[in-house]
Amino acid sequence: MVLLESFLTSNLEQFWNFTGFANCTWPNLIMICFGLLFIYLAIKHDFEPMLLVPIGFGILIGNIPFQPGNEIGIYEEGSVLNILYQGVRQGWYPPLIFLGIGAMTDFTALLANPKLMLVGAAAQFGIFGAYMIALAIGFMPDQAGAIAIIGGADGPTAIFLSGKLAPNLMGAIAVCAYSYMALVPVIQPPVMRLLTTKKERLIKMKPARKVSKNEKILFPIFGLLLTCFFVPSGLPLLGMLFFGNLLRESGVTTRLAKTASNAMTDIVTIILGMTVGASTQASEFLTADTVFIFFLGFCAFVIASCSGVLFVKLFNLFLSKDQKLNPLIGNAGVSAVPMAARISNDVGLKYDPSNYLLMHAMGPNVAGVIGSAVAAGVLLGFLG
Amino acid sequence: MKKKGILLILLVAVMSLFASAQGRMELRFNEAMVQNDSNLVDHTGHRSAWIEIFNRSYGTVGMEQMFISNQKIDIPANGQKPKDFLNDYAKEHPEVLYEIPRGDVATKVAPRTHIVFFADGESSQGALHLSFKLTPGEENNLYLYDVNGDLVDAVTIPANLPANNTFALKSDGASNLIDGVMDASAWSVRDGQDDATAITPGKYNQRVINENIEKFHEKDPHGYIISVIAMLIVFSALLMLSILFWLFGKANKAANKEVAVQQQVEKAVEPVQAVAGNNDEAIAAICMALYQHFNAHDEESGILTFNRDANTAWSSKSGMMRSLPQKQ
Repeated sequence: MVLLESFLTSNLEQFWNFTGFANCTWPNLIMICFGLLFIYLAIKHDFEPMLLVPIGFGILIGNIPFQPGNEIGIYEEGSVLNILYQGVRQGWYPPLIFLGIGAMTDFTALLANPKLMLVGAAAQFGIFGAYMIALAIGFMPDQAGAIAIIGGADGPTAIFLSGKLAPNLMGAIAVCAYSYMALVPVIQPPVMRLLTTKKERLIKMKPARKVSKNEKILFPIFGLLLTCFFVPSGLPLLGMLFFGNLLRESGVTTRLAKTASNAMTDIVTIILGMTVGASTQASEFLTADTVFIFFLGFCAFVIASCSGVLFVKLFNLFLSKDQKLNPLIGNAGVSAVPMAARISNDVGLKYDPSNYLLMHAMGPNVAGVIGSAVAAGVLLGFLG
Repeated sequence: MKKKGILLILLVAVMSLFASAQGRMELRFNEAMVQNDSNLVDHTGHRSAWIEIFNRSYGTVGMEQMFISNQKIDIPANGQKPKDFLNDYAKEHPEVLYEIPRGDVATKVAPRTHIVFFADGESSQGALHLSFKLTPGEENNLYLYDVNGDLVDAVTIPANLPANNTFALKSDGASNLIDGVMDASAWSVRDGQDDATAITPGKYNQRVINENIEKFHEKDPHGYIISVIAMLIVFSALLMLSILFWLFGKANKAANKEVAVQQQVEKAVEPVQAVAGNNDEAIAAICMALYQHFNAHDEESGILTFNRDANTAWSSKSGMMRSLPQKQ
């Protein structure tokens, strides 16, 4: 009887030590609260639900306390989560997402008015502004580059670059990038109002011209050749983006384009979001660096929005009266498709209910996707 | 179609063979110790001379069936395949030439990593044990041959190399044969006294640092230079794209206009052809007469546009409307 009792006690004790309750620490609980907050924001307030639900749930998965050594955790070699996480570490998922983005993006608005590409380029100053601030705070150039890419407002690009330049900061950078992308409607409108006059907000832009099918087919081909000859290090992202777009525009690979833009993107988004969330373990995430990353991410978004709007104002000085651009489309240069373009449209409609800027803003918006991928390639080329 | 498929497969196979050979040609002797009294121990607990080889390529290289020798082998031009000759030679003279056996995963060298062979003359101990020894106090030559007999790398270890010192490349993999002879300036003797002369079997000879990051950290501490250059690159790439598609747009517009004009002309000429047949002169005369009579051109001079009023009493709404009685 005594033997049985001691046997049971020792086994129960062993089981207790194995449970999450015995291994739980305060940082784990804080991170679980973060995960719950993300899920709440996504479901209740519709903040980027496609991303914040997988990331939020991933945070819960990654912060369940357990005894190490059982091939469970995301950082334990051979575990299922670790195998899925390799796609993030090795940079497989972001290019696949870019393939889907290419297959679902219509570049017509950009092709109808190619000068809008420059607005997308100008908004990338957010990245380099944040890079300078990060250096001033004391980050090393590679870490600063990885953090600054948040200003591109492009989740896959941020994950791709941080995975290469600063893998230890990747979790915080990804969460920060997606959080601020969800907060675009909060961050951008005040900046846009601050930097524009009422008269400028009322500018009506000329309707876009018709774009031929040939132009749409040639765009991904020449886009790839031109950008990747400039920045070969951006090839994984740009190559897949333009490839996806060619699948869409060629007209003969509709089935492939549909798969790339629907099923495949959904699958990769689920795995990417979940594994990125799970990688934010308390020990890696709850550090002073994370606070700085969130601060720098905010700076990057604000600088990017400002530089886009200011560039349009500057550009207007050289354009004839009937060619003038509404500066409210400048903020859309920060990727974040199509959220940023919708903000341009909404703010424009507030001042003139007949001034629909959505299609005009889509130009710099999709140019921002290309611009941020080029900027990531440049940073990787210099600092990788 | 079938032939094309077979050709394509052959082409891919040949290219993959070529790629594999390319990888093996990137192997380099990296460090060697001739007299080992207090350094690396093998899996049997013994110390012996060792030779480190570095794979400087970015792909995994399989070393099986390559050859390591302690003297230069002259392959005779008697029609025998070099591979067969070396194979036979390795069997007959194991004290000179060692053929790396097949089937041992230990002989696969991951990208940018090292492999260490023990020169203990005990090849029965495993694929990483050479069939010959190195001789202390004498000059030791080492040659690495590819599967097909091509010389991949060679090094001459000086006779005066002290015990427990190594002869190593200053920078991993950074040497090339010049006319089949090693570049002596790339090598140095390491005694393990400090970091710069550390003895590093299976590891990098020099501390790996990201030179780019160090350079930018030192030369551009505020990030101004990289920001300006990067913005210029981003702008240039998108500006070029913008100009290109502006030109495409123009060309497309012009082409569309030309097609539209052509269609307009054809449409206008049709009724004239009905009167004048295919007589070009008659068509031209009628057109000129009409042009003069109506002065009927709109945008482009010399092109006639016939604007026919399509409304008739039968189709025009206004024509069918009765006037309301006027109030008196």
